[in-house]
Amino acid sequence: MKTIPMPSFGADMAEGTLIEWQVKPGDRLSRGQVVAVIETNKGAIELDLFEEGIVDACLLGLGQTARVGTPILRLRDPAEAASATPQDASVPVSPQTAPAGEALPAHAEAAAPAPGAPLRHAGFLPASPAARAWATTLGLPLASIHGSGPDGAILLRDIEASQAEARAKSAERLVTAPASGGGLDMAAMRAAISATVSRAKKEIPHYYLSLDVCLGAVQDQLTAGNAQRAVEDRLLLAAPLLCAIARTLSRHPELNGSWRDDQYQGCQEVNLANAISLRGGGLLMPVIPQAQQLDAPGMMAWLNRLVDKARHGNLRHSELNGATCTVSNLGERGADRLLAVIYPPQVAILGLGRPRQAPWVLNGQLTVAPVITISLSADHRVSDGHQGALFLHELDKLLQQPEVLWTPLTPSP
Amino acid sequence: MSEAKTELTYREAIKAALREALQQDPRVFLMGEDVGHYGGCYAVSKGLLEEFGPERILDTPLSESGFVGAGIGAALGGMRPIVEVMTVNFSLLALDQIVNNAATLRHMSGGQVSVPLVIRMACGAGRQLAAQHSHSFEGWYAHIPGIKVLCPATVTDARYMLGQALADPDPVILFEHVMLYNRQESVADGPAAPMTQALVRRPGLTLSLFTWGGNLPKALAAAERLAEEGIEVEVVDLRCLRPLDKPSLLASLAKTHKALIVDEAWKQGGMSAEIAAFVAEEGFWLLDAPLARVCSAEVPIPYPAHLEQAALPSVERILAAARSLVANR
Repeated sequence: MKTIPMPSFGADMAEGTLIEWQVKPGDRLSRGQVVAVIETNKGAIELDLFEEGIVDACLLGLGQTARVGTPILRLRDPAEAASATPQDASVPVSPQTAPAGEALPAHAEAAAPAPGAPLRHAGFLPASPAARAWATTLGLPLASIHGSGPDGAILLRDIEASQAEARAKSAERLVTAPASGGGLDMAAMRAAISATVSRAKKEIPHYYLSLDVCLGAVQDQLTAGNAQRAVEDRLLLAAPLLCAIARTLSRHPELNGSWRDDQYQGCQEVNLANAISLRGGGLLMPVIPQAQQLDAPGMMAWLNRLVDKARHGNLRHSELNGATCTVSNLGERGADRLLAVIYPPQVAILGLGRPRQAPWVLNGQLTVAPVITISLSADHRVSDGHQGALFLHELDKLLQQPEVLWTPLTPSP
Repeated sequence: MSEAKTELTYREAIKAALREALQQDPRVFLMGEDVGHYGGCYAVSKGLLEEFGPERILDTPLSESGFVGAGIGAALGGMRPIVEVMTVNFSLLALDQIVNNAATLRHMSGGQVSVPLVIRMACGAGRQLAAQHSHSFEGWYAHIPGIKVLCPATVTDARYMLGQALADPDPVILFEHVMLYNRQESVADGPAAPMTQALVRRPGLTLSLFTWGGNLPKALAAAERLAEEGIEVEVVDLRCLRPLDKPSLLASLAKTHKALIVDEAWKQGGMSAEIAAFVAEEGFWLLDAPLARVCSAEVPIPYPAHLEQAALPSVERILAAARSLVANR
């Protein structure tokens, strides 16, 4: 028996609201199956699980909100399935899942909790009766409120504080985002972005390096490759750029990994997040897993898919999680240089400026060439400017031999 | 001392109420142990024998069951008796008459007879009268349907509740806390409210303090000090324990969401437990903190002054309970 908690779709997510269960008790899960749709400040996201098991109980009702980490689904082993349904005392027994005759002894057994164990249902949030009543009146999910009372109990004062916060946010929303979100709570997303970047700037000692890179060779390769492709299959510049970045990152674990609990864990494989700005404002950062193995056309396919899903709010849990590094790309209409803020717990982010025609010295001759400024923001706790500069130069070198980017790599053993 | 005209002691207020009742209604008479020649154990009826004569101020034998029973009979016969039981612990000898007769006869006769009897009794601790003379049994009497239980806590209530009790067609028991007799306060021109209605003695928004009778002065003193700390206590004087003015309690709770009950009786099975149960049943969704009670220690009330004071609810204990209720950590 195990429980699945409300997942985090990113460091900036505190809670999620259940929109839909796509499974019911008794269903056998297959790997990667979507089990639920969860509304977050990034829109509706499908929760896909890579667990095996049989759904024992759905612990969150439709429309209910739970904090990240709160159990929302209970699974049992397929092996357990044949035997009755042992219930743990932490969850209400529903008559559909447990024959009364068998539930009773199991309950009696579970009724004696470990000494000192809190007598509390798994999904139970401690709150005073008055706080519960008031939250219900306001239509406020308890899980969205921080409790300041004994054992974190939610008291009236906490609801008042949460209301005051909500009022402040809605005032901000009026100022910053006049009715443009189209389904997304833009104020909430703004608040989430604000919390994340504030944390990043407070905790991470950033350093910044920029390098102008000539895109002539890449452009030539793109043009040649695209000439043989149907219009809808043509590659954009972002594909070889991300491909080159991923491959270079795989040789720089000091820029690719995660910093948790004062410990850094570098990675060989590159799960590259790609910041996508939404039309209504706000950002999503879907992840391209094992990006170092992709060639440029493979990268393009991923980009198309993720951008489409992000803009339609169809991203899955696994598509937003586990990034080891991020690329932020302002595109054609951006500025020349982008110095981005690192997304915790990552330790580096690449900012791609606007590709532009610029004076360029080639073989001692002044010419005009397509140029892009690639900027690295990195965590000084993990790497130094020298390593960052090495990375940028390696990246530059790779972009000058772009044909290799059209060749898939085989995964190294 | 021109102001002295409007100020009375609690004792004087009850005597004034007795005189008024005796003067206004020839059916009213007072009887009990030592109420006549001695002037009452707490000197409440001093001088009344001389004023109203031995037919209306009756000294009785030391037999609570007998003279309470006689009072019930007189009430059935059309009189308006006021029976004084010297202290609440002696009233236990008259429990059979009070519980089995006074409280039941209207119901058992199908409404044919009523018992318009008023019983006054002294109650409470604080005068070093030891374990057999310091009881707070008003909560026990409040358990019994068929009687009304009044606890005048102010001089104004002492002055007017007796008249209200006499006007009631059913048995009413008045509990006079022994520590209140010497309190002197100004008296209003008439009753503050119907006798069964609870009154807010001090408004506040932080927490509701429910009490009655002898604990009201302690509660108000505590509220005064808590206000200096920013804790605004709403002191609600229940005044009548049966019927209980539930709407007033809920109204206060709806303002404060926290309840502290101060009862001089013991916790277990007491009036404070009843109020707590009522609040949990009917005021649950108003609560923002666990209920709190300040009651007497679970011992027979001790004789030595320091032990007696340690056993009783005190201003200090009320302060501590209120502070911890508000801190809520």
